[in-house]
Amino acid sequence: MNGARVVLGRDVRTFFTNFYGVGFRTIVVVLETVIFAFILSAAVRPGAVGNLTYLQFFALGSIVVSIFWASYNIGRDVYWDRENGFINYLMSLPISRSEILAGRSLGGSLRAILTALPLYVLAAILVPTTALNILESLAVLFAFALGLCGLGIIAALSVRDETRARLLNTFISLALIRSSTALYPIVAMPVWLQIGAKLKPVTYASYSIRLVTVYSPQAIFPGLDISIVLIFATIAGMLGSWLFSKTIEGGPAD
Amino acid sequence: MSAVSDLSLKVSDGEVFGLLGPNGAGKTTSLMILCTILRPTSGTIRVDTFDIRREPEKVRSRLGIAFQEPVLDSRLTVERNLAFHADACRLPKDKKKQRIKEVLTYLDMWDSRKQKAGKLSGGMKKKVEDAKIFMQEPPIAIFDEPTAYLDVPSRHKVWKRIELLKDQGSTIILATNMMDEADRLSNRLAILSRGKLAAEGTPASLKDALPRGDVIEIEIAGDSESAVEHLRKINDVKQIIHLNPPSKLRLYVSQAETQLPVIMQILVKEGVRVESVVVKEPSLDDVFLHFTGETL
Repeated sequence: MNGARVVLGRDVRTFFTNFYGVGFRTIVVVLETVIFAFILSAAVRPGAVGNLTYLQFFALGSIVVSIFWASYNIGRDVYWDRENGFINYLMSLPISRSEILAGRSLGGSLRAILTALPLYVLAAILVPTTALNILESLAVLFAFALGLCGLGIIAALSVRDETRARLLNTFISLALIRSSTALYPIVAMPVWLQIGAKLKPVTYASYSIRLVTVYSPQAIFPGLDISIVLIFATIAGMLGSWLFSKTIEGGPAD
Repeated sequence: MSAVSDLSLKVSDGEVFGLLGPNGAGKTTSLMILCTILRPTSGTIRVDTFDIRREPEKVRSRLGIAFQEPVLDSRLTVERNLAFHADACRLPKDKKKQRIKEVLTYLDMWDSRKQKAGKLSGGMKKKVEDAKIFMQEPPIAIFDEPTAYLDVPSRHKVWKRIELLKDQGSTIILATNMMDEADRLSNRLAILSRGKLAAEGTPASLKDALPRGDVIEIEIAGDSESAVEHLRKINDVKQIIHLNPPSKLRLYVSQAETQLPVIMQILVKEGVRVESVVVKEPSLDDVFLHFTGETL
C-alpha cells in the first residue's frame, strides 16, 4: 500500500497548493446558502422539505454538491496527468496500477471531505446535530465521493480535449445535480422530473445526508438510500478502474 | 504500423548502452516498453530474470527512467517532486533527505529547491528530471536525452554524474541524438532506424565498419546538385551526403590526401565554385548517417 499512500499524499499536497481557490469556493457556497437559500426559504411553503426549513435543506444539499465537484474533479487531475505524461511517469515507478487507482480515488475523496468540512460548520449552526451525526454523515459522503472519483476518472479518460471536457461537465451538472433533490425539494418538481430525480445517485446521497446529519430522537436510519449510494460507488469505482486499466495500462506499442 | 519491430538487444550488467537514432526511430517507444509503460504486441523482454509482462512490478523496482520531456508536478516544489519520487521508490527517510540535498547541490539547484516546478526554465526542469535518477541510484538507470535543453557546464555535470552512477554499479541505458554524448559515455551502442536495429557495437567498432578512409566536407557556392553529379564520377568517392545547408556535402573517400586534388581539379574544371573544404576523421556522426541513411 506504499504506492497508494504516496499517490494519495500527492493529491492532498496539491489540494493545499490551491488553498486560496478552495477557500474562495467555500466562501461562495456559504454566501450562496446564506443569501440565496435564506431569501428563497420565504417562498417555499412549510412542509415542502419535510421537517426542515429550506435554508437547512439547502445548506445540507450544498455539502453534497461540494463533495460532488471536489471528488469529480480528480478526473481533471487524471486528465492533466495523462496530457503531460505524468501518468506514464507514475506507471514507470515501482507502484502497481491498482495502487495508483486506489491512491487517486482515496486522494480525491479526502480532498472532497476537506472541502466539505467548513460547510459542516455552517450546517452545525443551522441544523440540530451531534458530532456522531456529522461523523456518520462524513462516512456516507466518503463512500459517495469514492464513486464520484470513479465517475470523474471515467469522464477524464473518455474525452480527448478540454472543450469536450467542459461540455461534459456542464451536462453532468445539469443531468446529475440540477435535476436532483440536492438543492430543490422534490415536491416542487413536475412529475417527469421527479421520476428523473429518483434515478440520480445525488438524490439518494442528499436524502441520506439530511437524515443522518440532522439529530432527531425519532430518527430513521436511511438504509435504502445509503445502500443505493454504496451500489453507485461500487459500480462507478469498478467502471473507473476498468477504464483506467484499459486506457492507461500499457496500450499496445504501435 | 509498428513503432518498433524485430529489435533484439542485450545489455550487460554495469555497461553504458547507447541507443541512437533519428527522431521517430523508436528509441522512446523501446524505453517505454522496457519500463512497462507500453505493452509490446509480441516478443519477450527480460530485465535480469524478470519478464516484463509477467512480473512488471519486479521490473519496475529495478529501474528508473529520466524522461525526454521532464515530468514534474508543476504545483509542487522541486524538493517535493524529488521527495515524491524517493517515496515511490521506497528510499529510506534519512537517505532521501541526504540525497536530495546532495544531488540538488551538485546540479546547482539547491537554492531553487523551494520553487514550484512549473516556474522553472526548461533546463532547470531537465536537471530535476535527471536528479530523480541520480538520487534513486537504481540498478538500471535509463536516460532519454539527458542533456537536452542544458547549457554546456550543466551537460558536463550530468555526464560526470552518469559516469559516477556507472562506477557505482548501475547499468545505464542512454537514448540520445547527440553523437558526442554517445561517444563519450557509451561502452556499446545500437542505432535504430525506422523502428529496426540498423547497427550495434562499440563506438570504435561501428566507426571501423564505415567505408575505410577519410571524410571531406565541401561547401559549394550555388547549385550543389551539378557538383554531386560530377563528384559521383570519381571512383574513389564512396558516398556523398547532403548536409544542412544542402550546399554542404560530405564525401567519403579512401584517402583524402590523394583524392582532394582530384576532386578540386574536377570541380574547378566544371566551373563549380568551392566556398570551403575541411578534411575530417570519421566520427559517430558519420556512423549514424551511414547506418540510418539520414542527412544532417
